[in-house]
Amino acid sequence: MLRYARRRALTSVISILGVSVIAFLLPRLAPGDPALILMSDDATDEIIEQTREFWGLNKPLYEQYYVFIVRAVQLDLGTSLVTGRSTIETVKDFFPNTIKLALVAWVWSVIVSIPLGILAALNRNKIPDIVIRLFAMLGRGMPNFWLGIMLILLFAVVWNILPAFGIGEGFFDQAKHLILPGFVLGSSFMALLVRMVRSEMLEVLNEDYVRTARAKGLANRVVIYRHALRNALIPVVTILGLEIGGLIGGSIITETVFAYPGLGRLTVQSIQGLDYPMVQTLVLIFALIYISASFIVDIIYGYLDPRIRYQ
Amino acid sequence: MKPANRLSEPGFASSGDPAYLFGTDFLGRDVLSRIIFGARVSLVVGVFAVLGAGSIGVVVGAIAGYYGKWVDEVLMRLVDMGLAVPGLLLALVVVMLLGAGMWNVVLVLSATGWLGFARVTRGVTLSVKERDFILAARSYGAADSRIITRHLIPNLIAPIIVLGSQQLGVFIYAESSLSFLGLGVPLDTPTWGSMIAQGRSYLDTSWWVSTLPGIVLTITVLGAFYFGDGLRDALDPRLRR
Repeated sequence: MLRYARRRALTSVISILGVSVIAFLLPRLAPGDPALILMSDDATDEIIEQTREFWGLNKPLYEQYYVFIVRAVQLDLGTSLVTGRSTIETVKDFFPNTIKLALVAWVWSVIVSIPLGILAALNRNKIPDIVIRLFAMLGRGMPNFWLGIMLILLFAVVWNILPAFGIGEGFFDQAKHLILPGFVLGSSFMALLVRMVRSEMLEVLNEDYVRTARAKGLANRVVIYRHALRNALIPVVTILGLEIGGLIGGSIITETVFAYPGLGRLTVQSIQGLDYPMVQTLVLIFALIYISASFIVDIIYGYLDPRIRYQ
Repeated sequence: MKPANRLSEPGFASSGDPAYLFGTDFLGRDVLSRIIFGARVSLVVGVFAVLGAGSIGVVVGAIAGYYGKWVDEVLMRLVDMGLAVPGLLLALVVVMLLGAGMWNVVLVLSATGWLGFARVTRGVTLSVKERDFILAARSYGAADSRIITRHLIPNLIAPIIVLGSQQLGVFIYAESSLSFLGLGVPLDTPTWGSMIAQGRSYLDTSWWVSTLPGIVLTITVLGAFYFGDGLRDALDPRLRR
């Protein structure tokens, strides 16, 4: 197990370094002088010279990369061209909002999808299964941004019961502001989980040990929850972690639709504003979250399913 | 185009103008014709992105799976690295460098979408290359390039077609997302994503401007997914559930 964890940790570190190369190259691949790209248009020659000094832009590329990595580790990745503040400080401001949103999305989709998946599997090809599958299919095919706009149309414009934009103040107001974006962000994840729980349950219900459990005369409830569900959920655990990446990608869209001040909307605004220092920081942060999440998930998976460890 | 035709209701509504079946937008443009023109962008981008991503992915995956060892290790680490960044973020970053435009979107989706194809191709290659006919080909002295193109890739076609048709829906979805964010196809070309984005400002008076393109988009994406699932069931009975 320790060997497996070590190997997995090594590949994670390599991945993070790889992503850091992408982030590093970004302003250097863009057409133009990186020192000008990393500074706003109205910067004086003096400031541009400082930027060149700060990032070591007069040195060879590998030394520039070294400077970049050292700055990244010191959490000093320059200032945002739009806000003029440190990029790391800006991320710190927006980060909690995205976490709240992702948590709401994650929790509701897991709570809803596991029972629905089981229900569909136990009633295979009967009405509950057909309805649940239709629901899951819609969740998979309906674009998040459009679903968000439709919900704004219904709940904010027509019925006027939920806020459409922003984040709100105070606990209840904030919670109200999380309902629509949280629902939208979790919807495609929910659809994926339902399909997965359903197909894993169907698979497991055909296994010999389930038949044995039935033959022993165990109650149906015990067979389903103790024997079938536990095994069906193992692959689901992987998806729970891997989909953190999906939630980040989704937050880019969802936060933009609902004008929700989080990292996703910040990303879109930074890209639209060609704010390279901010985008560099965001790419690193997103990759760090995603890679650590999949590392943790793989370790849990290796623990749950010993076959993985010995590959 | 008279200004009076701005935001007129869809022809199927009771107070609508029958001349505009799906109504008009804030510039008086017919929503239905823009949806029809938007289909061109969605389908062209989707199909060409599948071809682009598929070609890169199949070649990389086949090479990795066939040669194994360090080649496999290096290529697959590269794929892992790409998959370590959320796809949409990667696409946005590439758009930032390349700029918007329909063919740039195809390029972006190919550059980010090949990773999945490479994974699948490698997996299938690993099992196919152990089969006897590969050994037979090698024993009569066939070169690696001939074995890969004549014996390996034909056996990969079924799973790749299945993945490709499923990815078609994903790419159409991705194009509309990029255009919605204003980072895909420029605004002078009608696309479903940008139509939905533009209709957002008129939700309180004109529901149809955002709603109708979205319905068409959803049906198209679902259609591509269903098509992919159907193909998978037809070509690979083992996966049928």
